[in-house]
Amino acid sequence: MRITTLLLLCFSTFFFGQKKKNFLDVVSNIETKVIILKPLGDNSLAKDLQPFYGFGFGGNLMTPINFGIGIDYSLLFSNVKYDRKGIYGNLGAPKMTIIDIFLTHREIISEEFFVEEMAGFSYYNLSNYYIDLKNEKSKNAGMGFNLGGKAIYILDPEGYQAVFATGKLNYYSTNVYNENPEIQKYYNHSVFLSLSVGYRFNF
Amino acid sequence: MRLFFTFLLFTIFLGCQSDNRSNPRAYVEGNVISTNLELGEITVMIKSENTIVAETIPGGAGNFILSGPLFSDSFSLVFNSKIKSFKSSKSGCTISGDELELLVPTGITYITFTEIILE
Repeated sequence: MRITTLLLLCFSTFFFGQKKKNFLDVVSNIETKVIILKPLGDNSLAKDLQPFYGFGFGGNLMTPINFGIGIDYSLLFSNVKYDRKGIYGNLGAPKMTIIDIFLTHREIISEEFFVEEMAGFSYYNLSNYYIDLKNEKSKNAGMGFNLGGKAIYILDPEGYQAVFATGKLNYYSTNVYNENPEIQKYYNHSVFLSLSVGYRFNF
Repeated sequence: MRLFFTFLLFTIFLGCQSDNRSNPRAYVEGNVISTNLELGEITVMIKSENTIVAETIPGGAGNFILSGPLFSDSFSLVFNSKIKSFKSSKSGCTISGDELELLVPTGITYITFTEIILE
């Protein structure tokens, strides 16, 4: 009986006590940012399109051990290069939606300066208007992963507001099919380098 | 708890993605010459399900590269002048009734027309 009581006591201390403390210390933040994204390499998005510009929103949850999770939603716009229209197709106004879900680790450099590293998975949706059809879009979904780094500077003494700059690499792969593997590869994958600056609110 | 809900949302989001099949894309290279038209006046188009999915004006030597997304497994190459004759890297292509289109058979998404002669 005494052993059971002791075990129960230990159990409650280890699990509930620990848990409560941890969960109270989880902090969250929301972000808004502007983005420039350049596809790299020998592929359709890099060769046939101008760089993408856009904006995004995000949020992070950070635990006291400086590991956390985050989500980013970005909306980016581009144009087809004039001399590449024949190769890209009779399509216009490319728009890309990216959803990144990632784990982060925070390095505290000083009171007001942090660095965060990110790694995770990404979902892409690239849509284009058919020039020959009214209001109809071609849609390509893609999957991939992301790696990035973020420098954060805290603005106020309470630590609520911050500004940040992010550099990110995304791998993109989609399901375009062509008989010729070289051609399929050209349209099928890409690597994106993106830079963004934004504002973060901690709460 | 918040962590858990975020992952739950992510799972739902992944589960709802439709498993769509591959997007076929046509890729055509070729050379075109015309007896009547100047080179700058020729247009070459890819048509799929009555929609123009790619369009170009051939370069200085009549060479062109065209690519566009397809709605179905077959497509045709459309010109603005009647086709007299052609040579292609794959067999099975035919000239349409109005002589303005080169019909590419089902299943071919990559083809080279080494020579297309227009009227």
